[in-house]
Amino acid sequence: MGQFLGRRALHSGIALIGLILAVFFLVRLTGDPTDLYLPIDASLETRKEFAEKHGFDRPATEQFVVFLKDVSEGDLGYSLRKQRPAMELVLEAYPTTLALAGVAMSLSIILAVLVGAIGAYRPGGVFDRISSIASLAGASAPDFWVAITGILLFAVTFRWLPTSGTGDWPYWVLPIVVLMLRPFGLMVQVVRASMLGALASAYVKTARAKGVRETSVIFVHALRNACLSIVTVAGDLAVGLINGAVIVETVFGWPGVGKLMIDAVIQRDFPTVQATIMVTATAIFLMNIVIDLLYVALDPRIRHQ
Amino acid sequence: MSSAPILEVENLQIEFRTGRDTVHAVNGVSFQVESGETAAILGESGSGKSVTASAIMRLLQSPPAFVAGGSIRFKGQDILSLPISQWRDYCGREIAMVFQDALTSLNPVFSVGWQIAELFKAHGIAKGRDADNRAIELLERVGIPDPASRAKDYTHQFSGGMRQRVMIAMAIALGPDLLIADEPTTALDVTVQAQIMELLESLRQDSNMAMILITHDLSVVADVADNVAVMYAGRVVERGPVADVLGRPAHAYTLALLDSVPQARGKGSKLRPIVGSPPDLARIPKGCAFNPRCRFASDLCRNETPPIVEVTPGRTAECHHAEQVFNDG
Repeated sequence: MGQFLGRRALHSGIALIGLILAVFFLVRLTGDPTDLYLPIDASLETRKEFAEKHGFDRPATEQFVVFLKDVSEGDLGYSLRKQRPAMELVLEAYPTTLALAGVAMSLSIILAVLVGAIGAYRPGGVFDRISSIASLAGASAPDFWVAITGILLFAVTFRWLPTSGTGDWPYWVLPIVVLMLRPFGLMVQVVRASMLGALASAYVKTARAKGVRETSVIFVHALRNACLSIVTVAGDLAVGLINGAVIVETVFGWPGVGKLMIDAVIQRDFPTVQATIMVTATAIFLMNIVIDLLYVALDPRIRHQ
Repeated sequence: MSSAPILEVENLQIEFRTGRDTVHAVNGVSFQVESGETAAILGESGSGKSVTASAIMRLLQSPPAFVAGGSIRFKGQDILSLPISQWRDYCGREIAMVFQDALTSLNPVFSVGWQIAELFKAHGIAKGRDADNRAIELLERVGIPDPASRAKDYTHQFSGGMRQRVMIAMAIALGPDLLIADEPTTALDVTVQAQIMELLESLRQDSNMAMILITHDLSVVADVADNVAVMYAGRVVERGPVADVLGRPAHAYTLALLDSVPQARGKGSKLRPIVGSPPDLARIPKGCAFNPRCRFASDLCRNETPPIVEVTPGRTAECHHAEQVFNDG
């Protein structure tokens, strides 16, 4: 087990270095931040001073060496925009993202399992047909469009919910619902397909022959087997969400890491971009470890290999 | 022998409705099982024997399967009219089933101990540690060494024979009065087959349980069964005590079956495979379903459904030429 985790950590470390390299040089291709941070009529001297202060006057490779040295000392630089350590900004925004992603993902899983399992129990039935169409629509609806339509309808027209920002539960409703659409829609289909297979299996027949109650047959015997493929897809989708839901956070002005990242990119706030990427990449690595451990916990056949 | 039969199947008809075809898997099957006896259902694949077994347990997936007619009475109770949830209370407790392939019939993600203990929990007989201990006792009873630690193992950690023993432990857990064994040894090595049959037989005798043994293996039938029903194309074509039926068949199909098996008859007789293949159950031949493959077939067989002939008391055959087969076979 330790060996397995060690190998995973090594692979992720290599991937992280590649990612940092790419991000570091790519953001610098977007242009010179000096133009964005100084007034248009700033003197040449002021510009030079700004570039020198942040090291932008030196070649990119030299900047990278300095960056690596700073990172090894745990320093990810100062945000150009906020004049605060970039790491601080990221760690402030991250819990907000995680809370939103966590709630959306948990609700999606619970609902998708219920809907998918009930649909698979009577394939072709009324419930199955309605849920199949609904899940397909959910999975394929463009989230920016749903988000904006949702704001127009529930915030502007009906005035039931706030338009943007964060706070009490009304602020959470629209972002969560929009964020849930895709994971819910995709997972209903995965749950349905894997439950169809599980319910048709011989062990389900055995369970019925034992006199096990039908709810147990579905939600214990069949679902426990279907879990394996559900975890694969749910894990993938969860990784997508902890990345920061860039579109949803931007449309709803949600102060999460996705919004932080996109703002930093637009404003050429290099240190903040680098810090968000490093933190989300680490989170994704941890998430993947959790998924692997879940597999091991769920499937005894993997455990004994 | 005993009073009322434990199971009476009366003119059972089962259809699979798939698209435009209707497959007549079981076409009026009748038989009884007395309590404490071993009744064999013998037949080729596609003869309807497993479908009949699944129908008794009410395990058929509907659609596509439909019971088109007939009745099944268990201990005098018409089970097809019971709500399914009520019938499930009987399952495991009074009637149990051993399936053919234990590898797929056991749940891969639960320990075998858990799967056995579940029976006690599902029927409200025992729970927690008590149920676990009973599961261990059962594993010991079916001859699994080191049962306490094996109970924590999963299906994939057992050999084929051991897996079938687990399956049997589950089936006998609550001491059912009737056990349906659907090809219990087909998936196993020959040497293991004998051990499993011995185990089933000794467990059956210990508790005076009745058993329906579904198989295509004549030697198994000859070894353990009291009575046999030979099935062909969804009908019981011959019924009677095992020694009589296999010793002196009265149906052309039974005779052909015996002729086609190496070990079943005395030495010297030539092997004669049955020509052709079992009929398409969506297009069963007119008259006797066996007529296209039968060496006794006459015009009568091709046109008229054969009557049920009582060959000797307690023995029936559905054959126009029953007398001839019985006397000359």
